[in-house]
Amino acid sequence: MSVLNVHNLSVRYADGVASRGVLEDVSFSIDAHEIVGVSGPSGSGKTTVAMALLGLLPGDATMSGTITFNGRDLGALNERARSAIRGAEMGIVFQESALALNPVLTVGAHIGDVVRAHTRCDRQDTRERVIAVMHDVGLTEDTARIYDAYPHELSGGQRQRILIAQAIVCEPTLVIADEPTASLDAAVRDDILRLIRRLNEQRGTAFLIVSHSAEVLERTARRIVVMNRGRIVQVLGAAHESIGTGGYVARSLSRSVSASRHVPIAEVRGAVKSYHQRRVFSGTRYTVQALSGLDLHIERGTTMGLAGPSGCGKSTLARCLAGLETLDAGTVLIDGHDITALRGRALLPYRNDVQLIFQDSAAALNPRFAALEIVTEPMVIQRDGTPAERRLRAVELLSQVGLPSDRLHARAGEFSGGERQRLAIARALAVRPRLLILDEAFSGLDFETRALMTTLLMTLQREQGLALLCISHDLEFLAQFAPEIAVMNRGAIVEQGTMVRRYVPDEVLEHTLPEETEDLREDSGRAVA
Amino acid sequence: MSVLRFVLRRLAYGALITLAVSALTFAMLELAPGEFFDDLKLDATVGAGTVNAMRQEHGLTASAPVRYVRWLGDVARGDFGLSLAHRAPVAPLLWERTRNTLLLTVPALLVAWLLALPLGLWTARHRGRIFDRVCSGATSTLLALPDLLIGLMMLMVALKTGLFPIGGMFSPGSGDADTASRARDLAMHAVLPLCAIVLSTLPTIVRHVRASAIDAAQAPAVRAARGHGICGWRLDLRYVLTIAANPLVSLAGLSVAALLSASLLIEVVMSWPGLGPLLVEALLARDVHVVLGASMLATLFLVGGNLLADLTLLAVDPRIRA
Repeated sequence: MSVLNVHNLSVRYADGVASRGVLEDVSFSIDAHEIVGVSGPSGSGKTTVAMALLGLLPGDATMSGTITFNGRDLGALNERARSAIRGAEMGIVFQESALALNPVLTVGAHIGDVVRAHTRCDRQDTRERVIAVMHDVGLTEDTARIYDAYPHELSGGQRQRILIAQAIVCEPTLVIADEPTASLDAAVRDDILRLIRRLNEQRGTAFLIVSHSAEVLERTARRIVVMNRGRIVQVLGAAHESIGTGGYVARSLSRSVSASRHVPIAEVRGAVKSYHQRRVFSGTRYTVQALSGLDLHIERGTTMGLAGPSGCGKSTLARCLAGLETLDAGTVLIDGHDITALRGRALLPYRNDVQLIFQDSAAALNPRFAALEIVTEPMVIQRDGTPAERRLRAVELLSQVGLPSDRLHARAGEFSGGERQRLAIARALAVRPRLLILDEAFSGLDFETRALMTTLLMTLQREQGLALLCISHDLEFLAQFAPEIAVMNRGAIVEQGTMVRRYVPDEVLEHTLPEETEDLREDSGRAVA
Repeated sequence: MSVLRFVLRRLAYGALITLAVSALTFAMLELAPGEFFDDLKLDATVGAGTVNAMRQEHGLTASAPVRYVRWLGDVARGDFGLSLAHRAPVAPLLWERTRNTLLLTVPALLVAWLLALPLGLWTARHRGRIFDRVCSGATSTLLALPDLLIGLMMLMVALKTGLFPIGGMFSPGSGDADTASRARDLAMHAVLPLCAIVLSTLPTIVRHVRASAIDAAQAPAVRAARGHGICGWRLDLRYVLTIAANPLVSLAGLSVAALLSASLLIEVVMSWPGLGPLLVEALLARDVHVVLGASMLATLFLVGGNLLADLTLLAVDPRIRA
């Protein structure tokens, strides 16, 4: 018997005058006690499926097709009836636990509110149910403290368990989990996946797991629905080998790099940078040493990987190279020119040479600008070409990064995460940089998009001699992408080496590694395994 | 402990701001032509010698900086100077008028907030529906109407219906009545000015609440709560409002700061014996000490309101509290 039956589900967004389809004729079903996975690249419509099932699509979306849940046609129900189903019969686990919880409410209030929204429970009963479900999701120690804790006082793993507790507290027949492990480290992710399997076995709860990680789905789901561009392209059994998209990356990344060397495009000597901060209330000053005597040089047309634990100064280095921050001591040379002392207009010519791409492209792009405007803007600032030439080049760049030409006038806010990252890259390329710094730029992307982006960057490197500095905490990814890797800790390079063998995480670097590199490697090794 | 130091530091800043405002006010009054005794010079029965003697008596012959410093010294000793027009010390005069103003503005702003919060949340929840459109039309209209006109409209209501007394705080001859009937008389007199202030402050607050609530409704935490089937006022009050709180608390701080100024015009139009009429008269008559006292008082309310807003944020947000 199926819990959920989706038939010809289509979703369109009003996009100015025209409307844009994000889901086209999606049909699938979930049986009782079954775990079904939804996979696909970013922008393929995975999350839209989840939101459509819950009835939480944005106001400008129109939906057609039928969703039958526990024998009822959800499309025929009004908002009040949908609210009664959400949380009670159909649970949801959101992806970003730090954001999905209200910072001013305690854990007990978060779970208790779900209980009280669906049942008439007095304070004591509610508390008992909440404590019981917290035990169920594995929060067996310190339960009373966690009950009264605020979200910011918990670890990422604990928060994710709270989200799951919220989803299952009313014993729903189906739980939708949207990237339930995206922001977790390898060990915690394993725990969460085990918890999902256990809840499925013990309670018989059906799960719909949306994830771009093939591994997460292979380890939980019995069937996997593969989506692309709003359509279901394949339905697979979990053991199916074509799911492991590692092959993509391997093929795209194994190209060798040949470009002119010997004159470094960027060189950093003895860089020192510290930040002075003040505590809000006490007013005491303290200093954060971000860079402490760092040396690094990046050859023309090469790819350098930069790894290191968070807070080690990776991003500070990137900002100093891009001329966004000035060093306390030391020098930064771009193409042999000392830019350390340059300010304002004098820095302008070098700003073109070094371009920075951030992890969060959503924050780096004005959501109200159209794609075309975003890419032409830097050319306007640099007074590069006539409006027609700029437009032509923007169209060319957008097609280079793989954005369809019919989206030229779509606003940045309407693109998915992966598409926005491509938009950011197109904008960076508009000024013909010679060094592109990618600060965790691939972190939020799925395998296919990553592979597409890395292939694109490799091609640009070959054709234009573009140098890349790729910053990531994911050593395994760097190992595939960058022939040379530097490892940073506490503001300095602690290890630098050429890759011996690719794809073998145990032998990442030539030298024996210091302890922190070991930890990092272990983590990323498991993440991609 | 650190909170105490924060408060002390803010109070020290507040004192500096107040000082700066008093200097500015003084300078502006100096730069404007004329002084209190100029009217007397027009009177043919008063000789020039008499006027000069009076100026001498009130220390107006000294240079401006000397007079300012002298006034500062008096303030430090708790003496806010003499009102030339009222021939009385400024402090008790200001105190009585401030009390009258607060009697009007405190309930008015409370009512405005109590109406604006549910209205704003409701229109945000039903964005684009008919009720929201009507509400948005009404707030636009109210925003466009000058306070003066609202006051006059209220007077017209009083005149046409005869239900409420026109102007003033008490009916003539009510001085001998007992406390209860005096309070009732006061309340009846306060209804119309109170409505006028509510109408003039409400639209801004409603619009802020609505905008913040719409923003907050997009927050992942609110979407998550909706995903768990939490809806209605539980959703609005516990999730939307708490996430929308920051800008609203700051706005509430400004409301406190506006307690003395929100009613200025209304008081003048509806002859409520508050700070408004006093300040207008004092400005016209160049009654320096009254103007200085009133502007310092307003500054204190501004500093206090902002401090109160910051402390409220501190109390509300466990992340800062920790």
